[in-house]
Amino acid sequence: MNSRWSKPALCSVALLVFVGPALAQAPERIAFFGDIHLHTSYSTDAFLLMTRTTPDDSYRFAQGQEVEYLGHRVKRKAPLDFLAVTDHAEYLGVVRMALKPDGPLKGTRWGDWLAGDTVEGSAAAYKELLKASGESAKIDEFENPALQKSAWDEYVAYADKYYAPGRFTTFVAFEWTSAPGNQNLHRNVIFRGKGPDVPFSSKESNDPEQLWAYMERQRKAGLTLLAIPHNGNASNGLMFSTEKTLSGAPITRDYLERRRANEPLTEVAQVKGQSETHPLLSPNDEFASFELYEYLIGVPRKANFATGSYIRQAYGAGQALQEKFGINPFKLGLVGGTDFHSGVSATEESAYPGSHGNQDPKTLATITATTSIGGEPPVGASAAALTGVWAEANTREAIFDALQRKETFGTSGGRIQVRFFGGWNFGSDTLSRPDWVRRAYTEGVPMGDDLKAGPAGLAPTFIVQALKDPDSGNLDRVQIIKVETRGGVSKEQVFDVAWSGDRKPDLTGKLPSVGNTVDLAKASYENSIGAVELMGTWQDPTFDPSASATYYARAIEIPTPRWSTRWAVELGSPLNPEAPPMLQERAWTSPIWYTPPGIAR
Amino acid sequence: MPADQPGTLARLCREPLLHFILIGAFLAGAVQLLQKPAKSDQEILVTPALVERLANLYRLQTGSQPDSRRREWLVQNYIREEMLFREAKSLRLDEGDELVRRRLVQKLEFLKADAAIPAEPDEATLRAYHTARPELFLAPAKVSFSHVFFSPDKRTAEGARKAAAQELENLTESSDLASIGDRFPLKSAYDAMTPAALVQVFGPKSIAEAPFNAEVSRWTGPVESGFGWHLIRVTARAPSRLLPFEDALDMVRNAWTSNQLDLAVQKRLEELSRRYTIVRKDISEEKAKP
Repeated sequence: MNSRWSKPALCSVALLVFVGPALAQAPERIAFFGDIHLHTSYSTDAFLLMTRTTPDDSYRFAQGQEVEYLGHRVKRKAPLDFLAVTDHAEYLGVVRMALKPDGPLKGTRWGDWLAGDTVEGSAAAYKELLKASGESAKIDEFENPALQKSAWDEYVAYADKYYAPGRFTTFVAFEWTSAPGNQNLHRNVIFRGKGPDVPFSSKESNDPEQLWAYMERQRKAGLTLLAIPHNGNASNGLMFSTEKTLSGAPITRDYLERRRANEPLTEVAQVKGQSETHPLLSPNDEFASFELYEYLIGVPRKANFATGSYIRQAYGAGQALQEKFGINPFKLGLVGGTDFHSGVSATEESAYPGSHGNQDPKTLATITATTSIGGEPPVGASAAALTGVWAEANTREAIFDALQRKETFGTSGGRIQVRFFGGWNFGSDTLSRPDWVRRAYTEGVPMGDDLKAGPAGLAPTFIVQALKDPDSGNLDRVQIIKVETRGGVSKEQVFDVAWSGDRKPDLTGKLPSVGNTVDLAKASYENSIGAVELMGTWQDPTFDPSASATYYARAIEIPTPRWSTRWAVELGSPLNPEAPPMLQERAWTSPIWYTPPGIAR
Repeated sequence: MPADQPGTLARLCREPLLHFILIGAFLAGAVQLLQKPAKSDQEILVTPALVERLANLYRLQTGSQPDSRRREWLVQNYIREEMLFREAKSLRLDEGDELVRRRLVQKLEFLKADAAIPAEPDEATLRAYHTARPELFLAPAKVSFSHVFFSPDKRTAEGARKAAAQELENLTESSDLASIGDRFPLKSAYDAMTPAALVQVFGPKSIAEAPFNAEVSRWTGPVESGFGWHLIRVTARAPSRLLPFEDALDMVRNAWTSNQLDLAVQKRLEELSRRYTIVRKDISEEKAKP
């Protein structure tokens, strides 16, 4: 690439002084990073795991301030641009009241367990909580609307207090925590501006259709909101099921429409693993075996995942439904969230302080444990993930709208920036032009959008650009993943589009590995391999105009030491074989969709 | 870890528990460095070799060399952790998991008793704290600058640095900036950036600090970012300033509360330290006097 487009821009800084802002371009969308899935002590489970942080701590931590977590001072190296605290709607903020000696829980068994703020009391209460959750049972002592309302108002006030338009954005949000039979159907609900009077809890209903009904009522009341399902990987095949609804009714067009209207996004990664794909589902994807979490929620039982659990497969399943019903319910954009129960979005691999209270504090015991209450060893937790959005400004409106139009990407915790555009008429010199981003917007569509109808006989072209996280590993490669469906049958392909160095694909088309600079004894790596920036154009060589297709991009870093390896070195422990010693951090973009003529989008 | 310390691993296993009670303790690894027991249980021995090892550990963790003040701080941390470690040991925290948990809880309570959340302060108290600790309530410095980027993708990182240094020599006011350096994928000029914003955009490298020290209106460098090397020209700069009390009210309240907690823990530790004799072999006796 020989373009030097930033230089004219540099001169224009001076020029503007004389000619005024009229010449300035329309505001360009830039990447903002944030976490839209975080729990504090307002979540019952987090509180019982001895997390004592409040949303106050969360919003301060996200902005780069130091806060205390489990007796340690913790701080992000790079602050975040936005944060939605999403505490569990179920009795949100109520259990904290047990800390008040004469509070509303005094005289109840919860009050007795928690009065002394002891680990043992909390552990006993936690056991009871898990029991109630597993049975979807109510907890009588917490069934106090006035109490719930005052806790909710307090919680909303934190989000409003820390909203600083243009500098730091907060959202009113909560998590609806449905997990019938420990099968994860959780959704985060995020509001564009004003929040609701009360959240919707799975104690009212654990059926997503009832959540959508709640959301529809909120819209009628003038609010704007969306829901983000997550952890399909732990749903036992329920999350993206195409068989029947949760209540056992057959799938209808109305059901699919409501789902798509309420759920534009899904979380591709978080502390409980990635939900992109599983190596057994994608045997030809050499990067599929990444941060796997294979358990149900809260019990040491493995989840089934043959169908309905992973997003890549859901992209095909959605296209099959589209052929049948005329609507694709799984046109899902991708975001990342931490789901940490610590109150702090500490996604930096080098500064991860644990994520689930006294279940995984930064200790030798955490590194060496081979199991936990939920089955997976604590070292299996991911120091992940973040959401990137392409937005005009750091405001609730601009960021929410980016989420709504799915101009989003998820990262495994870092700040890789990825752009992705699709179109039919990108010139071969597009990327060498100084204004290529603006052209890509006008001549094509960004991530999250549908390809416009194309000229006959042409295959679509995609542009992808990835810029490394300035505080992490260089980039290995950028890929485009395609899921194609025709006649109810789907297939997936992974294409390398741009890569570092002068590597050449072998005769089978496989690109050699980027190499590895990780020194496990020191938990260190060198950016002597890989690239700072990768970009390229790619025209689909296997395009079938009569098949539906979902395309998304994935940028992959060089290997770096995993947090568990960094802890082991710092605390002088051997590595736990239950966790990989290093990882290749990554970013996943929302897809761009192609629908054949004659099929409704 | 030195092989000549048979008890080290067992001790390490107890270290996590200690962490719960070491509110504010920073040096996670310091307990690893426990020496062979001193003569008496009530005596804590600090030798030059120990200080050297603390310093080494600090280097490993932070990548920077501790100066003399930092060294003293490391020693004080060590003494504090050693006292608490021995306390924990005397409570037989090393015997059995159940016992560990129970004792730990008691211990935690013990510290917390003094470190309870303080009452809501009145305005006069907060105003006094705002005046006493102005350094805590500063609006950050801001800097605006242009830059030219030299990417390691086309050379090595060292090649990029050299190219930047070379270009700096040739750069004049009339240089055609468009012909210098490489396309930077983000912006070519940044306005009113705080140190934190610079880290956000460029990573924690020298470019996060250099613009605050560089001469205004002159091209300087090369400075490093997480992307490569840059020449920078600062166009405007504003130093950090004290926020008026009204604007800093929330900050003052948070800082005051956090300080009250620190003071309470400090008081507790001072009580503890009266039960120990600290022997400083790393410095002369004269200096060792508190």
